[in-house]
Amino acid sequence: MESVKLPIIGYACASHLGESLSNPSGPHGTTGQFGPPTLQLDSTQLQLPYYSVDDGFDDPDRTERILFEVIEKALQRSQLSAAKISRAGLFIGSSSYDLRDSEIDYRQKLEAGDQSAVPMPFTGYNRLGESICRKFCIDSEPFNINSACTSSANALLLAQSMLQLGFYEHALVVGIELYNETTLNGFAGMQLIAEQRIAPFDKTRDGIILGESCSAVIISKQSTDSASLMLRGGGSCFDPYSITTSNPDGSTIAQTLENALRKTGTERSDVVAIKTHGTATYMNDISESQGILTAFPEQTPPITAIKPYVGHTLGACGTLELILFAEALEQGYIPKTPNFETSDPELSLTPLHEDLDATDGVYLLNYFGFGGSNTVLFVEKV
Amino acid sequence: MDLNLSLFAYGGFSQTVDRQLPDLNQALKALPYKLPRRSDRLTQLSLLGLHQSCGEGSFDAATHLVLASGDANLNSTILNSEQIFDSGTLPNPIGFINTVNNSTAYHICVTLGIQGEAISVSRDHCSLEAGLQIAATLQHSDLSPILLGTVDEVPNDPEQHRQRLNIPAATPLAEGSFWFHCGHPQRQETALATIEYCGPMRDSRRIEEFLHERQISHHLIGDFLQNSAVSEIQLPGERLVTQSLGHYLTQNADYLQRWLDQARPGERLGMLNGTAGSDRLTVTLILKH
Repeated sequence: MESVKLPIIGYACASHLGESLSNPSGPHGTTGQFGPPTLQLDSTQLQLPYYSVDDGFDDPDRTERILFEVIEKALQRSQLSAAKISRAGLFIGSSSYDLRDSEIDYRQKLEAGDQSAVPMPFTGYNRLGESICRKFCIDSEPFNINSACTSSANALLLAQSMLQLGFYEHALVVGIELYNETTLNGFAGMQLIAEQRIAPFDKTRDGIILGESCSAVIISKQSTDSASLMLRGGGSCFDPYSITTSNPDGSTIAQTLENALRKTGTERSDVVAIKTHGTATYMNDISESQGILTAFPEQTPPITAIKPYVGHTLGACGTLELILFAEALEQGYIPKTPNFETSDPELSLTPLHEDLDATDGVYLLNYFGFGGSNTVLFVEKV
Repeated sequence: MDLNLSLFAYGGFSQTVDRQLPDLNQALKALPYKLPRRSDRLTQLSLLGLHQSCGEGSFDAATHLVLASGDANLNSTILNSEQIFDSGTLPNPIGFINTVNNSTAYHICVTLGIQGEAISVSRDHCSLEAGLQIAATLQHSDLSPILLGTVDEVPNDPEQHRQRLNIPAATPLAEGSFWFHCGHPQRQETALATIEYCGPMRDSRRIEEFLHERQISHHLIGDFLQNSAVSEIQLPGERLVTQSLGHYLTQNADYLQRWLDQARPGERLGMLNGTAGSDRLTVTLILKH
């Protein structure tokens, strides 16, 4: 089944920079100003950089508040009728879902000496989906996808396939990853957090900085003249090399890119630019640059990365980075990669130093995740 | 949704949990697989169930995996929470990686040597149904086989888990994993059954009419709906008497496999299920060949 182009008819997001990379200052200051979480552990006290949406980390209703605001805005922009929304498919990608709600409840009960305190009091991954269905009167059943950092990218691919098969006329795809201590501590324990900045493909790169976001994308099976961006599908492959990193020889990333080119009927020469996964971890950038060079041996399209603007938003980066990238294309430019200063001779690829004029054509968006998950999305600016 | 998804083989493993988690070591030693290092109980349960569905058989490298679970890696996430909030320490890296749901899918794919797409999905009591809908979508991407598995574990400290679920201390809990080898009907093997339909409905009269139209021979009400008004609806076909092993989100997979064991060719099952927080029902139709 070859992918068909589906119009993106609405989107919205909450991120450190709001909804546009060209925001000189996000809700909390300039790019690189971080939210405040300090991890108070018995063994140590860590002040970790973090890109936050706001500072309400301990608000018990924060997850639904941010989620509903974003979805409401995206649905309004799509101009779908209530009847069409009720029949839309719902696809959610996240690695943590409403985990923070459990953390807050558990910590508060522990501090109060409440005997009923249990870790993870709210189980399962379906609560947010059902909340969305109730709030927006959606009749369909949620698909809660969890494939780590590719979660919402895979949710988009699944949504597109189901629209193509006629299961739905429209799909609401949500990526959500909000601050939680489990994730931040986990990455700190793995020593993957950068000290000051996230610098993809730079020789001095030293890791990721986490961020939070919530984003919603609405795609449609019905053609429309007003959509300036089309989802062309993509592809996903399993990478058995390691549970935490893609094969550094680039073979599995190249295979994912080549499969996706074939499935979408896209010629290499049609690709205008690539938004990389670009985590700025030593291994990711090696695997990804090798993969891109293998898949595009003759002429490599310009590459760029979004994470230096908003941090690595893990399971939500699929929809968030698509939206921020699309917004930049809409404004007429392919965004540069901040923080890049020194080429790494090991990589043979350098990201964009300056913004580039965005022409019509196909753009590739790479996403890779723990658990051997490699995913590529194709979008077309028309 | 009309799925037209063929089932070629199935099997599974489950057990009731009382006060302590049963030890899996003996059963794991009997498996023909090289067990992944650092795997958690969820992966181990998955492999135990998988073995019951395929014995010593090998897999096409292009096989896709769909792993459906209600609570997924709950035990690993609990352990991380305890390390952070109770002990005040950083979680150990392996424990943290195991909180990522698709770590289980990773271990299964590596163990079986398969490299198709690997999708982990969750939908409370209807996780099997979500998996069936995804498998039916994947079958149109190519003709590769699809392995659909359901798995749920009881976290360590069953007593605490009952407290978490707010259920009485004597309530049994259960865990296990059930597998379906699925694929496109164009494949050359003879299908044992076809998943014809799986989709949401709200109106009980509409459900009744639909099941009449589709001429079901049996119907099954999922555990979640057993004490709800749904169990009072007059549905066509014989009602299957189910024996719950205990609180177990993906138990419907077990019930479905038991029906497949007993059903005669041409018989059709209508399976009704629901999720917490919704009045929507999910109806699944299965035709035995």
